[in-house]
Amino acid sequence: MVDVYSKQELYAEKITVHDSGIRRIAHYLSDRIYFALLGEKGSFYTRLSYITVVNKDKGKREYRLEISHSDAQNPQTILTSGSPILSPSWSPDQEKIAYVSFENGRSEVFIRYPFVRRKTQKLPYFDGIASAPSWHPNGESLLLTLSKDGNKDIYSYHFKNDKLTRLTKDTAIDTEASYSPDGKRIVFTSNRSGQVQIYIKDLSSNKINRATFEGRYNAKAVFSPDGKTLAMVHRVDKDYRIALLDIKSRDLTIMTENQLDESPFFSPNGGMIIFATNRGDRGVLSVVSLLGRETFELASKEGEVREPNWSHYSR
Amino acid sequence: MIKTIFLITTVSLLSACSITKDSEPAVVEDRSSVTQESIITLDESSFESQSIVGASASLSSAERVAVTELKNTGTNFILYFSYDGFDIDESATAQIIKHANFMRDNSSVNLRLEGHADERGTREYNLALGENRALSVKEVLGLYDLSSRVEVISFGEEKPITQSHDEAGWKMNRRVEFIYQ
Repeated sequence: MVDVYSKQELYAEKITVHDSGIRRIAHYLSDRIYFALLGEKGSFYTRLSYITVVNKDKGKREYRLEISHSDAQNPQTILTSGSPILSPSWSPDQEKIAYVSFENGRSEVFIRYPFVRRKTQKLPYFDGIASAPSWHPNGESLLLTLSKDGNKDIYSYHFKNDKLTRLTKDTAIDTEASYSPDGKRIVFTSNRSGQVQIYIKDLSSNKINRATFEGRYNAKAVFSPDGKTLAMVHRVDKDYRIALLDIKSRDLTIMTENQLDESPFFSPNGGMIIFATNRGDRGVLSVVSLLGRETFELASKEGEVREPNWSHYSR
Repeated sequence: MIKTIFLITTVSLLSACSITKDSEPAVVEDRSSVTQESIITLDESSFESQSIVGASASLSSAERVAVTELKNTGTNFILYFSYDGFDIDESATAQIIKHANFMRDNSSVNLRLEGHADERGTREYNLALGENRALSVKEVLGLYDLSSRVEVISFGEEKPITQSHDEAGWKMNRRVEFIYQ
């Protein structure tokens, strides 16, 4: 790639590719061109995971855990179940997906390896709910919501020694926790104030601060890749929309105008937010760009699509 | 089994009155607000293969008869809750006490409480909310020393009774189901 005015080379690379890899390489090149032009990483050579629900005969439903390229093309089903599947989450190395399944009659957390032949791993049995998995940026532990003693609190589960560390202790509901990109803070949903609001815990000082003050319902927040902003579900009158919160200034910006938006997640470069919404009676994935406020929908073959999760960059 | 649900719901329609509002305290099986639409869209997949609502397949035939009798005396097997609420009001407590007495009289049965939420709000929060609803019911049964025989499960918003995206539908989905096993 050459700048025709300055006649300087912006980017050059030689790649050999098999026919089947063309799309993947196109995304890879798109990221390189994006970087060469804008000086920021692109989000093309990455993957999505999401849940698809298809209505079957006799009122039965089929739940699928699917993965696709960042533009929702090349979808692959990596798990099919007659029981609900929830909350897929890519590991930072993009090799594992943590998710919640009801296949044993109650919510439990599993780890699946979509690209290698390896047995699905089930986290140890805990009494009550086990749900809302979300990875530490170093991939060595998972945040979970457990209700071992009836209280729904946030724990981190360490793979190496099967150890649980309790991160919140409150009689209220604490759930939907996720790490800041540097792993030093967690953000979570709690109704400890009597309303459903977002809280941030600093893991070095152990201080918990309320982050949201606008609106009576704010939930499922995630940090932006630069750690300065949160995306979340924000209730406006009777509608649930996606909002952005500047953590420092507490400025809240509503990004969407639908009735039932869920599960916001940042693209790896922070330039876009993917979320699930309803179109008529169908659940679809939608992407909103932060700069131009442009929204576009990602194609889905059939059924209702929910809970998108965007992978980190490939190695 | 599906027929049974239709029957119960249709009968209660005969006594239909006004549709109740959004924010009210926990209510006892107030089926009076169910609209025609939500009956049509009753979601069959939300019930597993049970011959009668409220009894799992593991019950003996004698236990099954006992559960049916409990139901015929007008005891509610589903309690409904307000938006984001999990409190048990007086009339709900009265219903739970009927179940407590039944469990004392029938020491071989155990109870599974399934907590559910409506579709509004996030899935994981609703999973937690559904558990709180079931735990509220269990707490009352605990006063009768029955905790060890009560199992609590939450399905959050994943197993709605109806797919109606309106208050009448949401109201039916915010619930705890009693299932003897």
